[in-house]
Parts: sequence; C-alpha cells; structure tokens
Amino acid sequence: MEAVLNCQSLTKNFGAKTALDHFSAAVYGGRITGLLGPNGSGKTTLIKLAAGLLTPTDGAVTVCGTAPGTQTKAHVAYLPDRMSLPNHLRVREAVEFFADFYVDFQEEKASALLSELKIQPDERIGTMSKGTREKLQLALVMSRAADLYLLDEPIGGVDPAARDRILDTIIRNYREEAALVISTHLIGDIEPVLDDVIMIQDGRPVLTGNVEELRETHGKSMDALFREVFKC
Amino acid sequence: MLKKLLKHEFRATARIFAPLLGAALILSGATWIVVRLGGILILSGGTDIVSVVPIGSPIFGLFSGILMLLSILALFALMVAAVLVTVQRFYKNLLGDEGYLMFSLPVTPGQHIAAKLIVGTVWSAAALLLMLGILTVLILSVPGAASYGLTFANLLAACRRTLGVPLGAFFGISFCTFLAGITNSYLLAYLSMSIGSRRQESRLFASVAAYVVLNAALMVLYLIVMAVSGAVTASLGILQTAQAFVDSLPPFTVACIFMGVSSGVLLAGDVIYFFITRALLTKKLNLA
Repeated sequence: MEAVLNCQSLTKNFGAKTALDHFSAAVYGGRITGLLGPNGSGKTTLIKLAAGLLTPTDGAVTVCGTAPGTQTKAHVAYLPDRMSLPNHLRVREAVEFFADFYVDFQEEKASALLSELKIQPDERIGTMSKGTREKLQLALVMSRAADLYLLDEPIGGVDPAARDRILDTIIRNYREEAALVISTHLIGDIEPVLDDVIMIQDGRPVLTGNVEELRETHGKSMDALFREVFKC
Repeated sequence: MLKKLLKHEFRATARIFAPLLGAALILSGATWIVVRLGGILILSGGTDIVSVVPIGSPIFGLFSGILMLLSILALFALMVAAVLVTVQRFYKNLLGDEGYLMFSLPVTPGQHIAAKLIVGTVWSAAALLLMLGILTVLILSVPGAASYGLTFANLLAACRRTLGVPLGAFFGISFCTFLAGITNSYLLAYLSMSIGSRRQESRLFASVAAYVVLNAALMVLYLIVMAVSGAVTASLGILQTAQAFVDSLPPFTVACIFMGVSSGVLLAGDVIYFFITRALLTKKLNLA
C-alpha cells in the first residue's frame, strides 16, 4: 500500500534553527493520524512542507508519490492554523472561490455544512466572530473530496464544547479513503478518533504507530503516554 | 487558472476602485455641465499660466473652479489608489495570512505574480486614460476655448506639425512606454516585498529598505552604464557624428528611439524582477 504522505529524512532549517531534523514517517489512506507534540516541536513546519508552502532544506516529502507542487495542491485540503480567508469576502463568495479553484470541491456539501453551522451565505467574513470564521474555514476545507487532509490545530483556541462540534464536523465529512492528519497538543479531545499517531519533539519523531497497539503495549492512554513522552 | 485568479483579483480590487471611479466620473460630469453652462472662461496667459475668470456671478465662478479642482483631485486620487492598492494587494494577499490560502491553491507562484501585475496595470492604465480623456474634454469644453485656438483639431494639427506624425502614433508609443514603466515599478515593488518578507520580524520595514537599496543600486548601475558608454563614444571619436545624426532625425523618430530604448531597458528589468520574485516565492516563501 502506497503512503499518501511520505517523509524521508526530511529536514527544514530556518537560519541556524532546525525545525525538522531528518524526519521520516508515512501516512496512509483511510487512516486518521494525530500529529502530536508540544508547541514549537515542528508540527506546523511538517504540515506546511506537505502543503507545498515550504521547501525542504534536505530530504524528501511526497504526496501520492509526487513532490508538493501545483499538482499535489489540487488533492490536498489544507486548514492552516490561522484565518486565511479575506475579510472582504461574503460567505457565498468564499464558496465560489473554493469551487473555482478546486475540482474536488462539493458545493452542495458546503451549503449543507454551512446551514448546519448556522452560517449565512450573505454574511461578510470580516463581521463574523473568530469562532464562526474558524468554522467557516473548516467547512470549506471539509467540503473537498481530497486525498489528503492536513488540519493544523483545528481545535486549538476554542472552548471544549466547540472542540466536540469541530471534531464531529471533521469525522463526518472527510473522504473515508483519504488520509487525514490532525496536528494538536490537545490529545485528550482527539484520542478517540485517532487510528495512528506521530509524536514529534524537536523536529524528530519520538513515537509513531497504531493507537490500539500503542495502548496495549504501554498499557496507557495516548494522553497519558503523551504526558510521559513530553515530560519536562 | 490564471483566468480564475484574474477574475477574483478584479473582483477584490473593484470594490475599492468602483466607488472612486464613480466619484471621479460624477464630479467630472458635473464639472463639464457647469463649464458648458458658461460659468468660467479659461484664458491662456503666456506659455504656462492658466487663470480662471468668471463670466457670470462670482459665486458661480467659484463653484465652477472648486468643481474643476475636485475633479482633478479625484482623478489623481484614482491614479494614486491604483498604485497603492496594487502594492498592498501583493503584500497582504500573498505574503500575509491570506497567503496561506493563496499558496495552497493549485496555482503556480508565477501565475500569482502575473495576476496581480495584470490587474494592477489595467487599473493604472484605465486611471491614466480616464484622467487624460476627462481633462482634455474639460479643457476643450471651456467657453471661449475655441477663440484661443483650443480645439481638438488644432491639438491634432499642432502635434503633427511638431512631431511630424499623427497624435495617435505619438500617444500609442507613449502609452507603451507608460506600460513598461508601470509594470517595472510594480515588479520592483513585488521583488522588494518578497525580499523583505524573508525576515521573521519587521517585514514591512525590511520591504521598504529593500526597495530603497534596490533603487539606489539601479541608479548607480545606470550612472555607470551612461558614463562608460559616454567614455567609449568619446574615445572612438564619434560623439559629434552621433550628435549630428540625432539632430538630423525628425523629432518623432528621436522620441521613438528614446522611448523604445527606455521601454526595452524597463522590459528587461521586468523579466529579471519577475523571475527573481518567482524564485523567492517558490523556494524561499516565508509567510507571516
């Protein structure tokens, strides 16, 4: 089985600082992978490299066997860790924007999701609350039938009730054959939905594998294991 | 994909330009009506002094003058807005938070640059043409202008007499030079911002600094090229021959040569700036 996302000795330096250090890991279709690590561990850098927003200093990253570029971006649904939709757009214009550029964007699904999240089509993004804007961005990303979903901290900065809603939206809407990567440091909330984990520290993978197997081997939950691995 | 980028870029910039354009057209229309009503008379005093003399009541004359001034200011505002928006769109839409969305689209960095450049150039050219057109119409509409020889036919004739070619030909080559100049300025600004954005902090300051440094370097380069070419011409003893040759040419040919060479240099700069900016956005992209 070919990995949807494959990193081989991937290294990324920012000046003298090494964000990723010979990082190797693979993510497969039909699996939900948690990219877990404390702040500054290299999660966002890894996701940006896979999304084609950064170029590696050394090593290689591939999406469906191809180096990130225009071709792979058509198959990768990327949710950044910040609001990237222009404030001047109305919701229906943002939907049109996604529909124009992504052939895998499903407008009907987007309409249903937006209606479910109580987001009005004529609402201007700039006038929305931070939480509503985040929900809109997530709804647009999850309305794509992509091969790889890269969600960078989708539940960071929201209250516990909203986290459940966001996770529910993600789980119910991603294409099941696709690979889903969720980066977070909030393990407790995300653990029930994960198939695999990649724990990362100082740009290196410190623990990877199947969640069930790791639980059995170590006799503890991912949350407890995370606390143990990243103990100060 | 470039077509789609252009569509969304025009839409995003039109929300700024449409009201400005509307205001400029309304003001110009109102001015034209008032001027045609015979409120003011423009007298050409000497070569470059233009005075406004009211024929009717002083208040009406003042009103006409203010309208004329506002029209001209609105047209200049349109030109300035075209430049500011074109530069700001690149910085905010590609190098700010919106860049996370834009660079995750299945579009090449070259297409992003091209879309921004084309839209900015179209708005700038439209603003210039509108300004020239409206100013010409307003000046020629002034009552009494014809008695001072200010007619469109006279303008065409004067142009042909001075340059030896129709106004259209002169305007055409001037407009091409303008396009080369404006694209060059925008691409230099894009390059400066791409360089400035490589810093983690004070990116705007770094972009401005990069622009100043690049401009200074270009000035030095031009001076060196001019000094060297002057020295070579002098050492070969062909300075006077060249001067005589230029003097023997019709003014329009001289203008064409000057603008053609300028445009060529600017376009060469365009290509260099475009490819360096593209390389920076492809290999060294550093979003805020």
